[in-house]
Amino acid sequence: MIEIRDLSRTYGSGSNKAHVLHGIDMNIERGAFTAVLGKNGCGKSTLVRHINAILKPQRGSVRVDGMDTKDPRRLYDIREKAGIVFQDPDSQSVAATVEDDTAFAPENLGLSEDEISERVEAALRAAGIAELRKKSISELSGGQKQLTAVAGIIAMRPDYMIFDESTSMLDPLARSRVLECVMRLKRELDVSVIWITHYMDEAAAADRVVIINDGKIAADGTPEEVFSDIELIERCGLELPPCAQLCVMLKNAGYDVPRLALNAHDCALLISGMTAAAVKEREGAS
Amino acid sequence: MLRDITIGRYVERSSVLHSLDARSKIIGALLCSVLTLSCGSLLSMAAIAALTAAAAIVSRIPFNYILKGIKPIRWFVLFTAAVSIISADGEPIWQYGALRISAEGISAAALTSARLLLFVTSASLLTLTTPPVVLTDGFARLMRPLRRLRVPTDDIAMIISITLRSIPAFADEAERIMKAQRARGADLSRGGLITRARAVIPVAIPLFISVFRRADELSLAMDSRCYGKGTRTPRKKTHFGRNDLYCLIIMILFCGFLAIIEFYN
Amino acid sequence: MIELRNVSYSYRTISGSTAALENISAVLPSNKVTAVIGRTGSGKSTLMELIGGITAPDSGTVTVNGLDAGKCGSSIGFVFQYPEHQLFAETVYDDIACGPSNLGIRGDELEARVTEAAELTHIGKRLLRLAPFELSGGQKRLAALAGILAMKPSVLLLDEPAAGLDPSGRRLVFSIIRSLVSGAEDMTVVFVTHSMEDAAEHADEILVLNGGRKAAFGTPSRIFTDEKLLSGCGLGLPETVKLQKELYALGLDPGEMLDVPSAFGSVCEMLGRCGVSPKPKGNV
Repeated sequence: MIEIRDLSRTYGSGSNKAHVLHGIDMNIERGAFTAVLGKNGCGKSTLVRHINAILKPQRGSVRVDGMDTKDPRRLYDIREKAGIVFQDPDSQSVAATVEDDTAFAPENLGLSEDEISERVEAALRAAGIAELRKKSISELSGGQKQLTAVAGIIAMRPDYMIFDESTSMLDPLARSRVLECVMRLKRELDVSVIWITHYMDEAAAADRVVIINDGKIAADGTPEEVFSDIELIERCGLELPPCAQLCVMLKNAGYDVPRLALNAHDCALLISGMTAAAVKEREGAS
Repeated sequence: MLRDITIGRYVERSSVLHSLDARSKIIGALLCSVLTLSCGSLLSMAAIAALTAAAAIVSRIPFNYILKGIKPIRWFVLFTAAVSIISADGEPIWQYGALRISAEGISAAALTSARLLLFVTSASLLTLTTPPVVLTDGFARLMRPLRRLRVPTDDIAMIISITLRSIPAFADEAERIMKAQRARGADLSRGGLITRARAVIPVAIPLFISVFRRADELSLAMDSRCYGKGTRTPRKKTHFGRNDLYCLIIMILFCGFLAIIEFYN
Repeated sequence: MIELRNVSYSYRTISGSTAALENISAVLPSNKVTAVIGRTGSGKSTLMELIGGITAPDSGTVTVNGLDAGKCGSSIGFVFQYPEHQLFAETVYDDIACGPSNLGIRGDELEARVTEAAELTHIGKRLLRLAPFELSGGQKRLAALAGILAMKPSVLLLDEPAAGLDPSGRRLVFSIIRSLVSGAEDMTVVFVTHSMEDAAEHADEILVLNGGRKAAFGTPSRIFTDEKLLSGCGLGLPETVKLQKELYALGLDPGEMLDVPSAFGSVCEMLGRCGVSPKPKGNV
């Protein structure tokens, strides 16, 4: 479990002092897919960078499976447990080929050569890029580069994987491939996923949605719960997934919308349910 | 174009040159550079050129790709050649006012151009056929004796490798920035020295910022993957095999051959 | 107006040359917003560079308002994907002024241009005094756009104008784009996007590229109802069109649903036909 207590961070000093994070309190349980939303500059990247001890708390504390990120002796244990995949596909690779890049973390961990090979093999297969292993990274597409970054983290055998807008520079097809891969990893390897995104449809697929606004937690709950508070969503500079927007508009127009649908399939079922109910009502009346 | 820079780019091919131990290739490239600088006869240059050409053919890297790597330095080569022609003494074979061209001048120009071209080509061949990580490993292993003097050889090797790998990326970035500034009416190729120097600022500042941003992100990514834990065990990327032995024998024979040429010239 | 006639362009790479664009012909109308969509590597960026006159086609012609694109100079404004590539001056004001002053504009005229561009892009007085590097991602993009608008182009090309922006930033950028074409002056806007929703909602015309060829050119309602075309080009459908398909599969026919507002209209009408009516206001 990741335990974040009263985490605060400020930049600058005196009258220019600005809060980036302001008293964040939250737990992230093992096994969940948590989406973190918020507008540009709300502090979400700063928040997750505390989890693997790239940033140390100025105030408050962050613990990963009981290890304090301020404890220098546990620094690498924490980073091994919680890996981050960053946004830019072009500035994350250390090596020239996919295979060598995947080996970077196991090499740093001081593993034996056999163990390194085994981990690289497993990580490449888990990320679904085994056939690219000998490829030069500069020849890969953006999506393939991000999957290579994913493999590079998996090779540490982490319990938590953090994605800091890792799909924001990809085209839709590549985006869905990376998301599918991460969903599969969560299922098969039992990794907990912390997924920062601007795409509401990605957040709609999460187990839990956390909205950060001005360095504070503005909302925290299931996607259905969080997205049903439309005022809050708008205040935080966000918007609902298109189908949820439609549901809200119908509801505001006076239709009896029983719940909020977050994707097209669910929304179609909901609308056809509404028509079926009307038919039944009429039959009942006649 | 900036994008044509080949130093630091790796091209995947299955060739004998690719499969050689990085140490053999580093020694080979170094030796080539030393030989081009220390040999003074055109015949030796021709021999080194022949050896480099042979290596290029063996590498199976398209010839025009290697030529492209030379393109960015073509003006520099022409300039140094012109300087050698003008500044050489000797019996003029053609004269126009103060401008005298002698046979010595021409051969001196040929010599300096050949040196530059061979130097760049052998360095390009090294990086074109050796992935940066392997190259790093090769450098690290060659520098290993320095560890006893407390030199952080592994870190140095990592810095060299990342620098080499970054050159093409920054060339691409510089080109994109130049396009963006040209789109705003910036003229990067006209005017006097000061105008031109000032025209560089709109390109230099964004490039500088981009280099720092990327370096920062890369360092975060490296930290996230436990770099600096202090227990690093790089996989052995180099295997000194039979081909490496042949390569070394060829290099030694070649040095002897050049020594004979130089002696008789 | 932008006219592309049989435009082809190839890149020269290690292994010879690869065609980036093959035989593209299209007329992108004035006072309209055209979106260019296609997968990564389909030739979108190359096409934009050809229209921008940055690269010349191998064959065919690109004319912008009747002139060859290479000779248009400042009448074509190009906003690149990364605003960081463009911003360099000490203050945002100086940065916006840089383009027009490159064109030789000075004094009051320069000040007027900067003020007007800042107003168009909702950049306040306070931001103008800041260094461009102090801005947020969204503000940087607006500053970059203002820097181009200050040159008063009659054609505006934008590469991924909303990438990486949060929803509020995205809405702002597209509302600015809309206001530019709805003004009295002659203005052609072309933008490249990966987002089908943005293309469906904010473009008047859509140009679909696939493997360097023109796959289709038409209105959003034509393009986004042709699922075979889009999936053949490796593109998805906008969420609301997906919903329309799902409804169709359930035996309901809502009609056209390109974006959320049109989906709302269509669904209300369909619900009405099915006898579902909204409760009178006040009971909600």
